[in-house]
Amino acid sequence: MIGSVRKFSDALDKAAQGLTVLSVSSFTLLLFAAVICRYLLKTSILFEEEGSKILFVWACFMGASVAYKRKAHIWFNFIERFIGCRGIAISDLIIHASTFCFFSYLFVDSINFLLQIWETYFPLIGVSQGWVYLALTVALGVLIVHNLFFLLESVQALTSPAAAGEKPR
Amino acid sequence: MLTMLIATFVVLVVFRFSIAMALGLSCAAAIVFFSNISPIVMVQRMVVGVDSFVLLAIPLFVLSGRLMNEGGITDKIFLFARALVGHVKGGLAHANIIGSLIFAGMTGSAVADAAGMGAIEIKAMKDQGYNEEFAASMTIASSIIGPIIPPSIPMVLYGALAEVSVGRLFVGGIVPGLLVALSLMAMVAAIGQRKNFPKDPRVSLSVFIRRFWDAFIPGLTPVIIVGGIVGGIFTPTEAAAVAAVYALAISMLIYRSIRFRDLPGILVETMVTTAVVTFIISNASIFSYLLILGDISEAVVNGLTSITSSKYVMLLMLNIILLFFGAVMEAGVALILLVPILLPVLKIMDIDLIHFGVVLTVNLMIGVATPPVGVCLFVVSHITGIRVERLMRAVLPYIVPPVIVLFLITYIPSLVTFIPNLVFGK
Repeated sequence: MIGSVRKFSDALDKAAQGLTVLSVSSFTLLLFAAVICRYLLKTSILFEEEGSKILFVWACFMGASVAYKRKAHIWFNFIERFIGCRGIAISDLIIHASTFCFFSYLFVDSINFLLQIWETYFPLIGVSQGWVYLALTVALGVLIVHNLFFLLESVQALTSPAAAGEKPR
Repeated sequence: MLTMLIATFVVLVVFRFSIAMALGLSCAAAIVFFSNISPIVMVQRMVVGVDSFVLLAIPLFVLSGRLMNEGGITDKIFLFARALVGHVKGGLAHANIIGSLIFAGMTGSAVADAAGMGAIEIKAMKDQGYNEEFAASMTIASSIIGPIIPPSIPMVLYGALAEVSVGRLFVGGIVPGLLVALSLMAMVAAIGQRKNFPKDPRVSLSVFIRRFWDAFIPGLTPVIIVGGIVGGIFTPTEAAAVAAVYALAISMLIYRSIRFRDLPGILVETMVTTAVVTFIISNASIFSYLLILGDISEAVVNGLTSITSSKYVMLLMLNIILLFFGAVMEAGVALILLVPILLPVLKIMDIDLIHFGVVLTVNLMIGVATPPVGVCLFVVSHITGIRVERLMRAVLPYIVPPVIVLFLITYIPSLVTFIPNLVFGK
């Protein structure tokens, strides 16, 4: 089971990276184009601010999922020297299990919120404000899969005798 | 609810949860078990926290710095700095500081400076016979300049949180940044005389012109950023986009050091670096919301103002608090958590928000070079292979000049506010 979850998690990570590249390059070009249009073509891109903010929110949450997959989020490890390898493995299991509950809870909440907000629109670009919040829902979906993989990995680390002596992170 | 919120956060951080998760989980626990607030608020606050046009500048400045690093532009900057001051005693140590000063104008991050310039600077200094620990310490100390000279990622964060002009903050950082550089150079000159530091032979005029020209094109970045903002041509966020496109153009078209196929990787790395901060902001947005509901700001205001009513003593206390938090926390995290709590104190004590923003940036940047959580210490330790514990001891004397500058700018506010007031009006 862990193998197929890993494959699914890797595939979602690739997709999240693709979305990240798309949104970062889009808001960079949009902002640059807005400056060019204003000074060279004497015209304004009216949706510059709203459009770039939507793309930024998507980039932030997709980037957060990529960072989570790479375990790049900031955390303190000073307690590790006191709890030993087994303590680390147990703490990893608790971290991933509680994170799984948090992400799942938020995921359900975010769907409820999306349904409430979908009918409100941005005044200038006329698209639903739900598109901004959808970024969080999609990111949470991806995060749940990555988290599930980490959770299974930490269960395996605790139960497998071979892995018991290894440092899980 | 507040005690439960803060206690849960501290326990989760101690037990190895990431900062973002510790914030999110402690808020979720407080909302679900200790309040009657709708949990849907969490979703709304998480998105609103990052839905900001000002914050958009962060990935763009990170991108610009990364393109400069990947494009080998850091070498050209260091060679120019070496040609400029290499012939004086301790020339390479001076070039290390000048290089950081120039690079500071292209990227707003201390880590980018330590990682990008550090490897080249330390190798050159070691090859010339400098003590490796001194070379590493000088690189760490000079990386503090990165986020003080515009552009600056911490200033963008502060601008977004305190709702003040990022342009004013950027311009206000110029004098303090130059003062930090000058104070470090004065220290190098004093040590250089005593220890008889080596120096380079003076370069010929033709070599100097060539190195100047190589550094001139990337060196235009700060001119574009600051000139564009001061001239009212574009907003700080647009300036960041222009700087990123400019860095891309010179790396791909002029130096041809980056290929099109390298771009996706650079963009993903940029957003991972950014998202580590924005995911904390996103979760901290719920945390701040609960702190405001719990009137913690009022408690902090009452607590601090009961100790003193003097603005100058308050600034001293705030500096000590910030130096402590800067040392034990990553600078961005400390900024995100502390600014919303301290803002009411600043307003009541009539402390200028631009002045305080620059003081706070210098203060927290000193933290990137100090133990136990000085990120630049870890970066340079990784580059050099010197143990972090040894670096922590070696770098301490070189933190003294920036601390002196910190107290100078705290008690002579015009050092910060003079240029912004001159450029933008009072």
